[in-house]
Amino acid sequence: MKLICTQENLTQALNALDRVVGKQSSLPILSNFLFESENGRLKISATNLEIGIIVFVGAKIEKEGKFAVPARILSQFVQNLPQGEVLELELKDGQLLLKSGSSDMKIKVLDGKDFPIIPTFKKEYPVILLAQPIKQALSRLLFCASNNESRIELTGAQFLFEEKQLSIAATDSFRLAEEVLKYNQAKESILNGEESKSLIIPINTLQEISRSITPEVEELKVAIEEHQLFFEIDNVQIVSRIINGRFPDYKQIIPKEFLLRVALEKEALIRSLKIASTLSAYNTGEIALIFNPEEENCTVISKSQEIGENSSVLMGDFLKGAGPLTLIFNPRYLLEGLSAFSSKKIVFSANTSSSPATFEALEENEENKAEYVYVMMPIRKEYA
Amino acid sequence: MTHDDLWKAVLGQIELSLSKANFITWFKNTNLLEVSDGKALIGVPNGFAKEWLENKYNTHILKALRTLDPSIQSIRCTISLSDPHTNQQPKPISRSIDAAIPRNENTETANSFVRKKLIEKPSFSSEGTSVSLQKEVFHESSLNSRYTFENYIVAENNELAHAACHAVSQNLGMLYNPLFIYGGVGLGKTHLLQSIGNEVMRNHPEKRIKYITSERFTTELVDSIKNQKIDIFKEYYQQMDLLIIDDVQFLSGREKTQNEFFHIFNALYQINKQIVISSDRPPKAIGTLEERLRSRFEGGMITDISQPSLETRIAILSSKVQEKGLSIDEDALRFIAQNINQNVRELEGALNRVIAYCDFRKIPANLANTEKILVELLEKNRKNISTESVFSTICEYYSVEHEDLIKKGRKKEISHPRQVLMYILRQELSTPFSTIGDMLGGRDHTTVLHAFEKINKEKETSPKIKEELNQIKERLYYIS
Repeated sequence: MKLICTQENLTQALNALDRVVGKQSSLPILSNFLFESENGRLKISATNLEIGIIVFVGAKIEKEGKFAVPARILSQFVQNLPQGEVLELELKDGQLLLKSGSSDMKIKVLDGKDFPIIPTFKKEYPVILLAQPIKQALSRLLFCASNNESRIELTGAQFLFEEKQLSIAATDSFRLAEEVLKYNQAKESILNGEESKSLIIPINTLQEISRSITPEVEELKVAIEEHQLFFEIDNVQIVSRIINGRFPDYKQIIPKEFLLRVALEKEALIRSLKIASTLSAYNTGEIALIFNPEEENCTVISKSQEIGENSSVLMGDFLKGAGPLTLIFNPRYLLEGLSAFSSKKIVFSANTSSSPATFEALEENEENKAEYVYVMMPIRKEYA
Repeated sequence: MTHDDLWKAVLGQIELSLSKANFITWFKNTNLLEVSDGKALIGVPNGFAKEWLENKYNTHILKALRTLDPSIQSIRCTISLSDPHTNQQPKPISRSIDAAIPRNENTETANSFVRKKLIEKPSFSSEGTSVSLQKEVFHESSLNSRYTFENYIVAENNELAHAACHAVSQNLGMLYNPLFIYGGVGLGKTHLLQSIGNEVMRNHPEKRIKYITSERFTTELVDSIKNQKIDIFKEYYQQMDLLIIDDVQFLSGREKTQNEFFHIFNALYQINKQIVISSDRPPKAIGTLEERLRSRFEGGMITDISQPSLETRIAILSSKVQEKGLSIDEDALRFIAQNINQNVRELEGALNRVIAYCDFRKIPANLANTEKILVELLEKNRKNISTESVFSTICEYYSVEHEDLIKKGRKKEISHPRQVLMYILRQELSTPFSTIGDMLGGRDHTTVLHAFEKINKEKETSPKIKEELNQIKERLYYIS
């Protein structure tokens, strides 16, 4: 095999593959990249047998072939070359010769036929989603998922396809985030006459997808076949398992009506929460939010018997509110939730001190209302 | 031949021709789903295995299949999921659904209290699948409601342990803290431990209870270190009102775990939270246990459970029979109790075996049938030990060399193990006295006889010797 390729193209491709390179030593071939020529293109694959990724790279193929090369070594070499260099790869006597303007390298390679075959989807993809909104949604959702393998269904995000919309949600059972995307194109639904279809996609897979959606990518193609998910993002193909389980019926717990709704400055709230959590971190990880509609403010309080106590007062815009209300939270869940918002102001809504509370973005104009909601459960307890 | 058997045979053949890593990677969780019209359909766990089996190993598999079933012409793979999680009910979220529906806001019952805690506190246990309150509590405490004081049979071998446990369950943290229970395999330590938890849960549902084996404790600790959540881990355990650690002997040799356990232990102990610990041997006998932990274990109450007497064994069996509404002859029960004397769990196993067999064959569970059914089981028990294993167990137990036992030396450190060895060889293997003498460097058979009688007598009078013998027998039969 012989080919010529730019350092930039190769770096980009290897970066997309890096994270799925297998680490287990039982099957050493998995810590390799598979290089092969296909229809005059260079195809590089990597897999850990849970996710498989294939990337097509622009290159000039001079001689066809196939080999597996140790991933770490190749990545290190290519990444550290000066930008803009052109790289020549040639397979000779079981060794890969790499030549660039400044540096050469020889690496022992393995036979490509021992590399696992990555399943691919060969038909036309039935579902095409707009990539950028998905990427944005994922960035605000994935941190909510659980990494506790004992509840496998929470280690993924649910994609719930319905007639007019796609809802994506992730939760670790303490907090939850959901984003609803309206379809813009005809091919955005996976429904085949069914009323709704739910898919739980592993977080790792979604992270890879999110990484592969670069700013210029427009479409995310999706297909399901035989309990496997196939994605195509421009020149990247990803195959993954589907999590087999039942995602909690979370829509029920998001309240439709609230007794208290208050708009707060996001940055100010984050600041007071960070101050408060320095105290609570040593104690129980709890802080109290006291909402007082009559004085139009919100007080953040934390106390630690060993260290001391703190309180900050924030002015709020009470859109709705009856009497004073105290809620107790783990500040980590509040802060993580807030970091998902880009708007300047957020709306905090709650009913009682023991029912779910939410954060939403405050948009100036109602038409443009973002369909993202972050739900958290308060800790029910007297805060003395 | 069923599909399962056929597939097992195929795997057996394939395993020989592949490396272990390859075999496990590609053939784990595969099965033969159906064979029809000369086509075999193989279920595989994922797409990678499907591609690999169909493209790389197809000839291997086909060849192996055809040696067993020549009618098979081709194979095909399909991804079949047999995920145990499909039947699981959604848990914590469904609870927060409950909590979320705004009903009687003011009634803060014990019920919702427990539930609330479960939602907010990081839970380290992985068990618990259902929605009912009873089971929710397990989710955290990992208790099994089957084990209660009511169905624990008290006899002279466990009287003290039972009394101590019961007292502790009534006065958490006030009486014996920590409570340390030790005893052999299958004598009911876990039952007693869980009973404490269940009793406390029934009387004080608001108390936070955690039952955990030291093995699981270690795993959780390692996980929490891995996920950098060690603080949450510590905090979680330090909030318990009652912490029950089972099989603590497995902590031996794990320094970091012992260290963390030590801190949790201290934190709980200082605020008078109850700690209950079980082990298969007294704290002194647990090797490589840090001194400070050992002294703490010994600071509370230590009590043991010894082996049940014949009467107790019969009582245990009768209560099982009653509990399950089975019918079996008195004589048959007595026979089981007489022949299985080591371990309560085995006792139950034997009973179940007899009942199941008789039920299946539609024959009465009387003495004659019981003897027939159990003969195999009893044989197996005996066969397990050999002269060599007796030798090595004795050497290990008393830390003596094999040669010393055979030599002439008469030091007490050597002569006592030698006498016990003779006793065990005679008692357990019915080896003739003269043979035993020959094995031990040509000693006279009267020497052996003397040793046998001496130990036999001491066994009755000295509890220390009795305990020694039991522990040796336990090692012989269970840890092979």
